[in-house]
Amino acid sequence: MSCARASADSLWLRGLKAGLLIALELLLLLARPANSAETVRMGFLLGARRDSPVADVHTAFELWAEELSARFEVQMTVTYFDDIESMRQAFRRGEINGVGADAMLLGRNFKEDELADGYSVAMRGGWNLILLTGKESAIGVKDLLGKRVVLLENDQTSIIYLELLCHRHYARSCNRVFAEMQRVPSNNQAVLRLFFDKADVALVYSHGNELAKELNPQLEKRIGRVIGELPITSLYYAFFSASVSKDFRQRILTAIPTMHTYPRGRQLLDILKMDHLELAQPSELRPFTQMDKEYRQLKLQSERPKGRQ
Amino acid sequence: MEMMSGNADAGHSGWSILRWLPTNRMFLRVFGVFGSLLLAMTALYALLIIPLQRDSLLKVMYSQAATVSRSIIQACSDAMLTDDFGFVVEHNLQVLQNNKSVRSVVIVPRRGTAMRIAPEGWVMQENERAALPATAFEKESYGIINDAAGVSHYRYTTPIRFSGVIWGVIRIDFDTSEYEYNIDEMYRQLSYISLLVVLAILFAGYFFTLWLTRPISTISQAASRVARGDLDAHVHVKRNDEIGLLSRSFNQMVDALQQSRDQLENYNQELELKVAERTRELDELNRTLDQRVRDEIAMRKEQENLLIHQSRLAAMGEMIGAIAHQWRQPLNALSLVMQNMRMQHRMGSLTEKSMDRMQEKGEQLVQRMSSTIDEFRNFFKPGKHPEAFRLAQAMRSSAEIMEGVFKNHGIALTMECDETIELFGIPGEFSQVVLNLLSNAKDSVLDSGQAEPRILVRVIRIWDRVQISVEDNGGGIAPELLNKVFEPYFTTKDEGKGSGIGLYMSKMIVENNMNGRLEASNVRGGGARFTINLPAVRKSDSPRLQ
Repeated sequence: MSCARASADSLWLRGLKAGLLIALELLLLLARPANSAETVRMGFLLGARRDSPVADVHTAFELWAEELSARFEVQMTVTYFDDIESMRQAFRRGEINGVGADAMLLGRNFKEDELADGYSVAMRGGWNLILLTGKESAIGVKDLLGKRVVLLENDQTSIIYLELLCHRHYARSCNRVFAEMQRVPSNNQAVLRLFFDKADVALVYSHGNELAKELNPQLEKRIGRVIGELPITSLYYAFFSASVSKDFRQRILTAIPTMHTYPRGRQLLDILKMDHLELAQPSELRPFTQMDKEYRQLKLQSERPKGRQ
Repeated sequence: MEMMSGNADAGHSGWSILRWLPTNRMFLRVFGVFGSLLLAMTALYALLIIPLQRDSLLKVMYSQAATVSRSIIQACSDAMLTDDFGFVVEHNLQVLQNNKSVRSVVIVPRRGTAMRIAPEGWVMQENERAALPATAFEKESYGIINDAAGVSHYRYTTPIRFSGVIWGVIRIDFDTSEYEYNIDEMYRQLSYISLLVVLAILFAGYFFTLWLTRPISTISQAASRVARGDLDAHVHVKRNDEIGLLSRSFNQMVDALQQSRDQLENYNQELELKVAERTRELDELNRTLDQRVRDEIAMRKEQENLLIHQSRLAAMGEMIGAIAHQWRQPLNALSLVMQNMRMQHRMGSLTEKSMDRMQEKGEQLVQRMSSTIDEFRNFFKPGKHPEAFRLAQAMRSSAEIMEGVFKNHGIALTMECDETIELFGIPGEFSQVVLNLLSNAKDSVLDSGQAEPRILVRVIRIWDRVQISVEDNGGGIAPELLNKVFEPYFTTKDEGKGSGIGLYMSKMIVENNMNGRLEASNVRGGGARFTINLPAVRKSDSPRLQ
């Protein structure tokens, strides 16, 4: 600095300028998000979305990542996993700080305290898993022996629930209860098989049943009697890692509940065949983990030799 | 591009009201024809293209319908076999979801209730089977239909056929909005094209027509100016086509006209000068005309007198020759008388009686010779006044003069003449004409070396005209000389034999003094014929003639 050679007025002016510059830099530092260094690194299990083509899922998530990146000025990456084990390891290594999969797999593979708040997929008609039969049918939950059942393929929740029922009421695996177990890719197809007498009971999610009845009101007259039901909030969840700061999580998750209200968000939800998203807590996975736990216990009991009981 | 020199106001009179809206007929006609042709072509194009485009769009829809139906049938074949209609419905719902142009799919199975699947849902419908066309289970059908609500669909119906068995019928209704949009788009584009064509007609047609007609109009106006006499009118059309050529030709024509007019004016001026000069000369001539006429008449008279004189000299020569011929015999006879007298005297037998007889004989001969001279003198005695005279007598006197010459040369003269015919004129002149013709015929037959020379004089009366012809067998006149024989001083005779004025004088006498015609021609067989045509004298016209 050459202050010694500057005049008194000049020194005062220079001091004022320097003070203003420092104040401006302080304001900018305060305005910048505190967790600006954090990034969203989501991992999604591809098998978790059975209703949508893989390419559509990729596109939807990438668009979503771009949308959120632009909206929150954070870097967001999406990693896809073919199996839950790979995703779990990546999560443990910190490569991803968010996970998305169906509830049963998340409950089985992640501890509740590893996960922080996130969101769930909400559907009109709800996610309750219901066991349907014809209106005129006399079949009850205890009359399933030798019947034909139709359920969703690759849906762990449906399988566990059905196995739980079989073990509860028949103390045996479903293979030995039902005469035929038909696996179909969609709720609607399961309902239709029930409608066209290709099955005696159908295990579907309630929103699928509602949709099927909307598509054909004639279904309401012939089917719809519920003989078993698992009340669940959602089937699909995504959670941040508990290591992600709460402020950052909340800043990102504020967009979630209103996503279906703006066109771009609606477009993304349509691609993923979701009605809307809701905020969720890891505790919502407990019904799934409890059901899984009960099923395993009953299975063990049923497989234990009779003499040991 | 083009302009017209000279008077600018006159040059642009056709365009002066509104320069951009020329009102001349040619512009309007060309513009009208050009525009009408383009409009007609556009309309024709539209009329041709609309059905083709519509047909093409229908074919596209048919192709799409056939593809969708085949896809559905193929996908649902197993389900149809197992009556898995749930799959059929689910699949078609997906088809409808993925293909927004499909409005509904109706599956009518061979047995069971028909299913109608639409994007908004599906339903089992008993009456769909009845609504199918009668041939739905046999062959496909398609076309645009309107439903009860007035909504149009492209409906495609085809049997579900696989494994050689018809399992039902599928009927697909397609949204026609794209088709209608395309049709509307086609009409819109055609409208745009038509609008563009109209604009093009207005724009391009205007300038094209202007380009085409303006120079012609300019040339036309310039031509009108030229027609009014303004030869300063030139057009400058700088084009390399026929119009440019026309313009240049027009300018050349105007220049040529200008040049011609200048030349004409020069000629006029020169002519006026010459006329003035001629007028002066004429005035001068008029002043001296009387004197000149008198001089000319005198000169002509002198020439005529000279000719007459020459003619008379020639006639005199002829006469002397004739006298010589006439005298030759009496002179011989007189010589014989004289020889006889001398011989009788020598022999001593001259007696008084014989002396008297020979004297008497000599006197007779001398008297005859004297009378011959009188005849000739009388013949050539000039008559002063015209009078009626007998033609035969006048001809006989001429023949008698020539008689000695004819006898001497062995020329046979034949005359056929009515004694009663009379002519009016100066007998001496007429006799001289006949003498000339006879003398001419004599020379002709003698020159030709004819072995039997002959001359035929024939007189014919035809009503009030008399035709006298003198024919010979002297070989005739060369055709190229027929119109020259009456010219003065023209002769074919050897030098010293003919003066060339006999026939000329004869024609002058006949035609000027006797109101007749004298013509020459050739006769068949080799000879010349001179024909005199004269008016005859009626009895009442000649009281003095006895």
